[in-house]
Amino acid sequence: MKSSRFGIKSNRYIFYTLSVVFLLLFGNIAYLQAVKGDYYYRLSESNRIRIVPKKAPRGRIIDRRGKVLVDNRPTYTISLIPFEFRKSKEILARLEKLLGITEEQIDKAMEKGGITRYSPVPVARQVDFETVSIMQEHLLDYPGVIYQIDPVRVYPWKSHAAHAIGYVGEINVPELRALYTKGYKAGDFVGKLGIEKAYDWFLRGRDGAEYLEVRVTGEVVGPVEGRANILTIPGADIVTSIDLGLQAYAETLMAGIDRGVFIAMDPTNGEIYAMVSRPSFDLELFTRTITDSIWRLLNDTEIHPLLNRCTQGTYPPASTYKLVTAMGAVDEGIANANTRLEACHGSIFYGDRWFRCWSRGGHGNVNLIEAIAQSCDVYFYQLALYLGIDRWSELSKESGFGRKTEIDIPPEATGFVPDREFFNRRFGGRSGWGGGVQLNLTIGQGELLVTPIQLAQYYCAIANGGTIYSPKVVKEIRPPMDRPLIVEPKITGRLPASREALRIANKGLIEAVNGHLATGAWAQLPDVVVAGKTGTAQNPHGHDHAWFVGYAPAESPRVVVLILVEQGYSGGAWAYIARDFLWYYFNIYEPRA
Amino acid sequence: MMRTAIDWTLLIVALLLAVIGILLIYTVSPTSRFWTKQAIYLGVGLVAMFIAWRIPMRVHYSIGWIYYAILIVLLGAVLVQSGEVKRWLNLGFVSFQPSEFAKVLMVFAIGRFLYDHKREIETPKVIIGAILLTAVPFAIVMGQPDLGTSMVFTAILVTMLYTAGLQEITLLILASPFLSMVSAVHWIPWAIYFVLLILILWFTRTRLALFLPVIIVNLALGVLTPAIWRSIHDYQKERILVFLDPGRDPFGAGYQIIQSKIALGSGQFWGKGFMAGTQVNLAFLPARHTDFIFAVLGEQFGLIGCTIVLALFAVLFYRILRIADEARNLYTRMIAIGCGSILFFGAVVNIGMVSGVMPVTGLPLPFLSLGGTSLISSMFIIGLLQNIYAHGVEGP
Repeated sequence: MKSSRFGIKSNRYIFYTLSVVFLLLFGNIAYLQAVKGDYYYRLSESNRIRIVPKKAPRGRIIDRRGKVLVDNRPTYTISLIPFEFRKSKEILARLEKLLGITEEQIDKAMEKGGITRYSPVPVARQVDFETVSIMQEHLLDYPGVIYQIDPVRVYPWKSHAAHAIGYVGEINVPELRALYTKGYKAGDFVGKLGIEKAYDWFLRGRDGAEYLEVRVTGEVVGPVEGRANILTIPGADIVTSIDLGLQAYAETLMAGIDRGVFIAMDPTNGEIYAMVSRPSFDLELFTRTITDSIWRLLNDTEIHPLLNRCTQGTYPPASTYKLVTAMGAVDEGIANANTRLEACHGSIFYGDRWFRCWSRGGHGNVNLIEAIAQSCDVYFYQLALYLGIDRWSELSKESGFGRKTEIDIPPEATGFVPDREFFNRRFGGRSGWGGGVQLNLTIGQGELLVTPIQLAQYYCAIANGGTIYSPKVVKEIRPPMDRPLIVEPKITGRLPASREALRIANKGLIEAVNGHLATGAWAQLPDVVVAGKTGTAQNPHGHDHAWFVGYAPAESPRVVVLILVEQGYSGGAWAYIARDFLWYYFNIYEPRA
Repeated sequence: MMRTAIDWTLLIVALLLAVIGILLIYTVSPTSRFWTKQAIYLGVGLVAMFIAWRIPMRVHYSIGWIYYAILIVLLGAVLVQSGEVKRWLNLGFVSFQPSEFAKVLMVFAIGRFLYDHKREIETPKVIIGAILLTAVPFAIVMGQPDLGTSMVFTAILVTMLYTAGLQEITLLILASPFLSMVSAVHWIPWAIYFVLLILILWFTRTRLALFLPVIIVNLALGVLTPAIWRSIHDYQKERILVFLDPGRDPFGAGYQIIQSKIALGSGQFWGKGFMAGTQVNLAFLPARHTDFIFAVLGEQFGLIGCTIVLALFAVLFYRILRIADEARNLYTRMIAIGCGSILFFGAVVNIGMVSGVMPVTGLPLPFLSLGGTSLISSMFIIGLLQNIYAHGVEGP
């Protein structure tokens, strides 16, 4: 063997590098053991470190004018520190007397919580101040028991916009599994619905912690040397596009309706002003322990109050959907505003059967505008035959149906737009079905399903000249100590409609509210021109569902309104809700931008 | 003719370290079966060592690409498994951590590639090829997420490229964007770094076509990094910081670090004595059999014990470098260096983590930590090194 020098240059340099790294490593260990050894020895012998978590207050949820929709109030949480807590008869008796918790409950909580043996396990939440002060006075009687301030949600407006706002609850196992890598931990509260869920990451902030040196008795010695406390970062406030005034008024208007939907939106950017899904629920329920009977009611499969019908309910759109065919026909050169087809005598014979118009007596000889205004089914049956099913499903899909609107509060249903392939599959080949299905589809019946938010989005696009905006309920995220984050409007497409088609649609919708024999006459307002369309959807499980969707002012729309009443018989009858809301909107409460 | 020489120093040091490991695991929990398990692993490791010793190095060379394919399949298989921390592969009858084997396979793959292109190491084709070769497994382990193993991959790549003959200046240029980003924490260190970079490039007469892009990229990163850092939110910063250093998380790894430092530091100079570690026995220290075994050593045997183990490691690395220096050809030299970086990097990152100066990455301490995969692959590496030693400069 040669001398210790390395023959190869790269090895020599590697050797130098290794030596330096090793010396540094050794130096640090020597420092810890020889210089700081006493300090660490003391810590190891007689002291322990306790981490006291400091819960970050959750961000508030604020309406577009700054009114607080969801706030926090401080409550006390009593926790045990597994390492310091020694189960004895006396302390168990004391805890039971003070907090009313049993040994069994404590065991259960201990089993569930505690990532390390030092992180506190909550055993009683929302304890009142008096109880806490009793504990504070006799701290030495409760070794390993601590209390912390825990912010809890308050909802000054109870059930207003409940589905849009959503609620929070303790994280469950599947959620924890999904969010574990993002730093969520057992015992955390997370959003379960609506904004609370979709914007949970912003709202939750970051929990901080205090490092304390503690004696065996639980007495605090002081902060731990060389270990800075972790700063608590409060959650970001979320500014919604919801307007409390409009929301409250909409809630009042919808109060008598068992099951239904109300949506008011800004067609120029997709912001939602008000969103009601009936039946609703009181958000305050979720701040307390929920009893079994209430839980059963909330999860009732029949009425399903937690379901946001605006985004998750799917319905046949009925006549409100005729505009897809109408505008398609204009652009394909099949019809213009004055086109008259075969007169309506209450029904039309196609294939092997009669297809009826809703008006038994018939609408006579109408043009396209009148057909929209009076919602003449026979006229649209004929247009449908010219347009064909392929073009119709294409137009439907391009108009935003059959796909998610990408509203910022998932989940949402996709709805369903049938096409040729679907019928081929269902009826086994081309010969199994006739053109009759498309007659039904054209008037918004049959297999076609839309969510209320899709339909509102579609009417927003008609109102704004063809731009499809993704609906959203959040305008702004305001983190503490940082610049606000504006949630920009999101454009997800353009209506497959020419300017002329849109003009005719608008004209038809104006006539449908204000014209001769208008189906939506109940929506008329004295000073503002309202445009809109009614719909009456056949419901195989009961009475017909009623729709009204429209916008105002018709010449330059600022607000789109959608109403759905499940089993409401006839859309025309509920148009008055739109009228009342729009009257309120224009005369009392026009929202600022 | 085959030389039957054995590097006794290397063998004995490795065995000593493994035995110390078993001893430490015994002190942590004498009644549990952990230490007997580790002893069995050592037995398996010895078998692996003899296998590596006997397989001619040209076999490894010829199937280098097959190794690479196995590596990707192994890592990919872990990724598609369910579970929160994806580091284990369960084959039913046996479960192991593929990332430990992946490191050795990586060395063979890069070795094959660089040896095939040994005459054109300085060309962009080869450099980029080697980086891409590393990038795939790097990305997979990063996604697990396993920052430690991905850093080992980087270390393997850099040391092997260097051994293959890459100029120091080229290494500097390759590392410079990263250095620029890191030094940009404040403008003063960055300015110093930037001036140094220009001077070095100038005096090494780097040609202009390379000089300019390097300077522009470094300048851009130096300006952009703080700007981006400032514009992102606090919580985003925090997420990046926690990713780089899980010790910031007060309830998870942060607690381990404090306890580990207490255990280590409280050993003071002489240690608390065999089986007398209070921190260990009171179960204060999490993961004490595995990742934090060095703290167990520190508490019971103090600075003396730590110094002995560090010295053993130092001898081990010195021997590895000597074996590399005397290796018969470039291929075996690169393998020796690559394997050496696995052990060196593992040791330094682990001990650094235990003593609180490096992020918590979950890399085991080679030879000492409880864990079959790690011990077996470390012993396999010793076998490889013995093989290279036996066929050293004096061989055929």
